[in-house]
Amino acid sequence: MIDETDILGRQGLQFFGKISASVSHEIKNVLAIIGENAGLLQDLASLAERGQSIDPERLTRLSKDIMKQIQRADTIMKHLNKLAHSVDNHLATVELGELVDLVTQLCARFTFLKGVTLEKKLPADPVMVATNPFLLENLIGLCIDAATDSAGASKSVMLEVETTELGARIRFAGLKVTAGEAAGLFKSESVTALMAALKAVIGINAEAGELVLTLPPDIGAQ
Amino acid sequence: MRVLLVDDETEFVSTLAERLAIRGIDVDWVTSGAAALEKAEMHSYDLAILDVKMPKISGIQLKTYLHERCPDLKFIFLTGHGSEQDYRTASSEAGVEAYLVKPVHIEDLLKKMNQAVSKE
Repeated sequence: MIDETDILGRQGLQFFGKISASVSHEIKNVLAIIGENAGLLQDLASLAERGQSIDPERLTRLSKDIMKQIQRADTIMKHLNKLAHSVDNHLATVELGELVDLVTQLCARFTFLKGVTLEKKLPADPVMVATNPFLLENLIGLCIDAATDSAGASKSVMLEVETTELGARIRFAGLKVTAGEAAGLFKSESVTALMAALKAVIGINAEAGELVLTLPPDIGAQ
Repeated sequence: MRVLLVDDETEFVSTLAERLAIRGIDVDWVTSGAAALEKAEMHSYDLAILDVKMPKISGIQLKTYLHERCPDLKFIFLTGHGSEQDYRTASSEAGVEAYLVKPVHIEDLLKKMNQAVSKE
């Protein structure tokens, strides 16, 4: 018999695997760009050896392009490292805006490939929740997946983090779903297990084109 | 040889195009499937080099559309995938004959380009 811990473990591995695959793809792209820039420098050096003049400005631009890609790879790896360390504590107080920002950055390639833009409205003041960070990242990732799959004609989904009287919520606006489709979303055993572990509630308002993930301020000891 | 190069990474595609141009190859580059179809309407190409994973129109889909318009066009795919086996399986359905895994070595690419164009 499969219990909730097994479901969460399997879902967690799937989530981590999906993100790792995406990150490795991104890093490959970065390496490809650096490789082409280095190759072009070599080509220009060969042309110079044969007497063709090289514009120093061209070399400066190439060098800047390489630095830009190194910076890009560094940012990607910092995000992955942060995700990896989120399993360190089963219960931690996190700033919800930062956590949403991290997950959206990690999911950026999936949303880009779907042709959907993710926009964020993060709160001016910190929104603190005591939660299981990795499970919450996982659930937000699933919400982003569902929201971007259901994006309306504008192909843009807006994520908004808000404080509520009883905790916090994340709104995903810009969806186009029928009431029937909305009822069918989030019925999987993985989502059910994640919501139970996080004491979270997901509501979908088909008319408003909105998905709302509501979280308590504290899920208590795990 | 006239080549259409398509990849959603602007820095990659523009630099690779510049390197091919240095080697005397006539290259047009674009960053989306839609732009590639527009180019193919306006110009005639011998070879299309396509990235596999692109938003809206994937490289595999683009190959099908381009082949309908230009039956003689040859194709090479570029992929950032770590697993060549996965790519082999996926691409065999689309009838792709040549592919390279990024980062690409230009000499390998030139070899594949010449092989593809010289094929009947």
